[in-house]
Amino acid sequence: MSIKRQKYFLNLYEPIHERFDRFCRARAYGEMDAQDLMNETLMVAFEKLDELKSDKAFFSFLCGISIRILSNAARKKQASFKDLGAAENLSDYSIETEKNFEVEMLHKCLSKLPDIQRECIILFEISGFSINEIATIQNSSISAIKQRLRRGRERLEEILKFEVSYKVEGAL
Amino acid sequence: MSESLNLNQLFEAAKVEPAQVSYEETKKIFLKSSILATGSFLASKGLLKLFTVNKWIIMISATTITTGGIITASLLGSTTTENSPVDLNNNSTFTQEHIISVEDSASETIIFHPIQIEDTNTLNDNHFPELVTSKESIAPLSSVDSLPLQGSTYTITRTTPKSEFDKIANNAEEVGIDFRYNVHWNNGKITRMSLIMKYTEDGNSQHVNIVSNNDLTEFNYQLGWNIDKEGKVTTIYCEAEEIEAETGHIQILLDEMELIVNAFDLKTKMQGLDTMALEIRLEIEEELEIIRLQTRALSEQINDELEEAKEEELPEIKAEIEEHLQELEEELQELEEEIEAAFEEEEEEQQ
Repeated sequence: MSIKRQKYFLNLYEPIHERFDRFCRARAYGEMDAQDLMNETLMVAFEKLDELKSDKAFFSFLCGISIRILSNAARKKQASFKDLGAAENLSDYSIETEKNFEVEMLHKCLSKLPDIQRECIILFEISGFSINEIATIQNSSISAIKQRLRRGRERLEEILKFEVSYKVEGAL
Repeated sequence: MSESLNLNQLFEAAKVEPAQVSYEETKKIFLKSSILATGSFLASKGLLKLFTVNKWIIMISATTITTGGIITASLLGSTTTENSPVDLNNNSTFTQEHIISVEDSASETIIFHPIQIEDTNTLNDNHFPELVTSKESIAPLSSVDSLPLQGSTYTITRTTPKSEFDKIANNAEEVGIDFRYNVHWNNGKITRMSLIMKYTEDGNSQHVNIVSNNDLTEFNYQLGWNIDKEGKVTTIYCEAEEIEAETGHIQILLDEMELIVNAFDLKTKMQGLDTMALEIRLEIEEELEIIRLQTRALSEQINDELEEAKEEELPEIKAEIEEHLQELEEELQELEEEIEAAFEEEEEEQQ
């Protein structure tokens, strides 16, 4: 029965809501509204619930779907000009505290990484997946994931330094 | 912002950052979207997926029926579990204690005395207890000073003959007591009995009333009256002492019942049923909450769509709705039949 299925689905989703919210905000930054991504992912996940192999894998199931949705959206946008400045316009939450500001800064910096590196770092550093799990999600080898993480961090540090200095100069 | 920001700090902050959108909000949006995403026969017309209404109503009905069914099944299950193993004779008797009062209009004293009054349960062929009769025996007892210092006492048992009743009636009449009785015997044993003993003097009255309208295994009433030195009746009384003997028999039955209850672990099963009932109630509440959310979303959507719909399209839409309502009714009927059949099957299995 549909209602049972919905209930089952929501029961799976409730404990991972916060993690999924963080993942979506980090990953969707600059590309689409995080809430839209969440909703769309949930709808697709509900439709494809039968494909879920284990309840424990629900979070990675959702992340995988989100990644596919974003990748499809990016493909559609390829024809159009990718405006890097749009990232700032798409941020859908207010920067009320310094902590929020820092997190947003991180999201912004992450958005400047190539998608594959970005996802890899978000999944590992923010969502807490293991390298093995990320390898499954990204359909890559463990060594490739390790390399992506290393390179991604190096690149991210550079971007961060640049952003910080830019902001400080701007403030002065 | 500090210049000393490093990646690890940022990741730590991002890891523990609270959700921007609450779970409840996400849930609402998801439920609303799930309705709208369902296939619709009117979608092409830009109208709300009324087919969803169809499905949705079936879903509500099915939920209600199923829930009712689960509860019914639980109740049926409990009856069967408790009673099926019981193998008692068809005329097993269970006793409960009642309180009766003695009314004495001459004095303000009212004495309450416990007496065993029987509710007879018989077991039918399926061993399900069935209440057949419930009779009341009202046997007022003596007042405080009623013990017979002088007077007469008579014992009435199941085998007391008619001559004994006549004798009591005659003796009672001699001292001014109105004694009436209506007794039925079968093979020398009393099967029904009702008697009234009433004494009135100077506007004050006392009475004893005994009614037994079913087979009693054994009984022993001691009734009589006290008289003072002048030969006037002071009190009339009835005691049912020997019925206590019956209590022993009943106690044995109760002990047997307790053994049966323990042997089949019925208490645990009952507790299990209580837990199940609680879980079902919680589930129902959750489901109702989902249904409420969906109703609200659906209602909002219908209003929006109807506002947008053109007037000329309305008759067509109405016709389609009616057609699908008809389908819905048929589906509901089929569903009910299926559920009914399932319950019948379940009952047969339980029996």
